[in-house]
Amino acid sequence: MTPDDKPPVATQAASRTWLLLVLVALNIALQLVNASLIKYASSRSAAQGGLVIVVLALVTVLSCGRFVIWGAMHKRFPISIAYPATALFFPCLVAIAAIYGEHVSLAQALGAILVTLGVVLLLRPSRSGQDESLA
Amino acid sequence: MSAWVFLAITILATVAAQLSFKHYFLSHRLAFLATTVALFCLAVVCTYLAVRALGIGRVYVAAALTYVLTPLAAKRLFDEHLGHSHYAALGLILSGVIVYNL
Repeated sequence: MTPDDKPPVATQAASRTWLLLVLVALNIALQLVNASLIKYASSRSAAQGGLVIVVLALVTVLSCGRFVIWGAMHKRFPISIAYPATALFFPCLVAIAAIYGEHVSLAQALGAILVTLGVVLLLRPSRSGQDESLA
Repeated sequence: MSAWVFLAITILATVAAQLSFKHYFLSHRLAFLATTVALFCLAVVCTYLAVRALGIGRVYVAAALTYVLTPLAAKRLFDEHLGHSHYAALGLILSGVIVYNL
């Protein structure tokens, strides 16, 4: 392999990685909006059943957006990579809970860190060349 | 019905929906797409019912089990490759879910 062969291959791999990251980021953003809406709905009283139905309907509509994103992900990446990558949602969820004033214990923060480490390990390129899903 | 049952239904419905959606892209059969939509709608309603009793943090973090179950099911159903690092990563995610709910 000559040095001239490397840049196009590296560029292609980088493009795929960036595409995956963008799709994952969009998916996480929609997931966080949905989580906030469900939290809002769950705090409504029984007398506001109509409002709850409207909010859940909105969550379902937003989930359609996730369908489109998932479609793009399923077409291009193995499900065993694309789906766990969205686990980055969890540290974001803990951060939002803290912003909303909810108590986040040390154990919960540690749990979120463990989940994040798992995701980082999952996406880290393998030196053995066996995990070539993103290449 | 117990909130924990709703949480379990949420997790299983989400995993099944992901697998059904992958089946749709492999087979292009609309039945799989319809099944996926139905399962995701079921998951939304069950998530709401679980959050009412358990809170959003516990429900959503417990739902991370789908991130472990889905790749394992994909390995069995679609013969997708899972290397040692993948198993270690799934173990970390599972540990995180357990620690969060201690």
